[in-house]
Amino acid sequence: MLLLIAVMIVLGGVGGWLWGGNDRRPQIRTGAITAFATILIVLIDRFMESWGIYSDQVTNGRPISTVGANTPDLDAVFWINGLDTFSHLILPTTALILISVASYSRYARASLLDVLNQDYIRTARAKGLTERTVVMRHAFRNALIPITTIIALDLGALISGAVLTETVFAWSGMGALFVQALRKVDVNPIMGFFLVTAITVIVFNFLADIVYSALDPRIRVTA
Amino acid sequence: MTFGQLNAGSSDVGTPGGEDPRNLALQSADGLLEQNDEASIEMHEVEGLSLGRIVTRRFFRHRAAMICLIILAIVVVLAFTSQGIDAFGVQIHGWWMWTYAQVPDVINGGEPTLSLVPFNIGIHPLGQDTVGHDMFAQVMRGTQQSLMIVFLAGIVSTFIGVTLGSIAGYFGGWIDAVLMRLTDITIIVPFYLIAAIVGQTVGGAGPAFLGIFLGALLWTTLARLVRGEVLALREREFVEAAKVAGASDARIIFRHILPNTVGVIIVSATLTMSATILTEAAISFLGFGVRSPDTSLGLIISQYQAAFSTRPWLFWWPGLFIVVIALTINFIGDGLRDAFDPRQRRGLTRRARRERAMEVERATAAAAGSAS
Repeated sequence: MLLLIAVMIVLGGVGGWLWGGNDRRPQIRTGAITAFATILIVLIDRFMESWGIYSDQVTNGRPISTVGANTPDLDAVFWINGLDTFSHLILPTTALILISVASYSRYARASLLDVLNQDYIRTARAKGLTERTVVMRHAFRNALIPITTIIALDLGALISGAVLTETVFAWSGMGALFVQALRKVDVNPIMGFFLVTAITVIVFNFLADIVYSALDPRIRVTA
Repeated sequence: MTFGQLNAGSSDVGTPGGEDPRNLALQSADGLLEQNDEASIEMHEVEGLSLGRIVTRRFFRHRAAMICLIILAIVVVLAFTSQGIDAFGVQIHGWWMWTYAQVPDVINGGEPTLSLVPFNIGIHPLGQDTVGHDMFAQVMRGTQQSLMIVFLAGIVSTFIGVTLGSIAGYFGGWIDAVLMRLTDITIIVPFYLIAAIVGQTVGGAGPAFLGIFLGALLWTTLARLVRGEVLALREREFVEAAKVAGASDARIIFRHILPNTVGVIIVSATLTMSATILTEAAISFLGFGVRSPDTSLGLIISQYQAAFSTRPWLFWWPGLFIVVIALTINFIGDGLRDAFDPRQRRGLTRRARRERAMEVERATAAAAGSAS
């Protein structure tokens, strides 16, 4: 499916290149974007066509499932299977999102309040910029540094340790693997777990460092 | 000035003594440094006041924070007087008729005897568990333990996190690299694994040890947050100015940079403290930390999770106290953050604003009088 999307984007780009005329580059871009949007709508449409069959026949009218990563013994066409995965993802994802939203909003509030009282915000307002430009361009960008840190840390933590969420929704991921290995005193999965989490945590923290410099060009992270 | 102390002082039940260390720490030198760019009539209200005074005044005018401080004080007083103090060798009996370890007979299936209409407390206002423990005594004892653990963990983690984060962010180079890899290692090693291993070797340790242990593992988020902020603040003009003026590194970090990161520090510290209540429950569940017959709020909750539908009072009351503690800590943190922001003009009550306007008027009148 990803291949299909890529092919469509390339086709759109090629179309733009062939009939682009004088302004080839914008034409290629427009072609690619249009092709991407079209193929996305086509795919969603195809999935939605299967929705009736999935919700009525596969799940007996209760399409949002609470347990596991897919319906057991489901051997159907690609579209039905895809819908099955999506509907199983809804609840765990919502749970994890709700946990994060609370703390993110508090960090965002604290840092944005700090920034909004700075002098350059007054300058921006005095220049007569709209409130949206002031908040989004001038303030929010500078308030993003703590949020970047938290997101990087959270991504590492989510990959390694959404143990509770995984247990509640009977989803077998890294957390479940780790807990089971601990119970059976099996060393090899634990070492693998450490390797993967170590790599994710370090990579995401390095990414955060890079994003800092992008957000505030004055920052020099010399490692 | 360490922010660990600062947090402890301000959440310390609002006694006048609790405010003192902060004032003494901050009152000393050029507290008004941040304010100097605000050359206007607004300066009149803070003229001649140290940063400590300004912060204290703003904090006491923050209505939500003050209400929460009072509620938290009530909870602390209730918990510590009703069950008495039994820690560090000191033993004082409380006024409640049962202690947390007593097992009286189960009356009426352990139903709570508390009723509002007609008002009646009864002998087991919050009910009893299956064995007969009085739930009020249990919840109060749990609140004591949880509060101690939460505050210790909050202080320790804030102290370590702020120190390491600011040093790494300010000096950069290999110091930054070493400290951040140390942080990465602490993040990677699963918390519960360490807890299980330490629990096996140390056995049941008191709440004080547990609080310090939790604090020693929970500082990573704060260290990375502070480092990120310090990286950005280090390049600002006021740091250059301080350097040119000949300030030492420690002075620049603690006086000039850290006061600007207070918002993030407080949010992180309060969130960590709220989360610690439940983390402690998980660790106690692994057999490390608080053990039966002693109890803590998180432990009560996790013990009676299964009783949720049959005996809901075993679940609701400790849950209520957890929510109250977490909420009040968060609101007090909010109030502190607003108080620390030197440019903040919101968050004042209308009365305070009117008073301030009158003060300013008087001050300007006096200034005009002396000039003429």
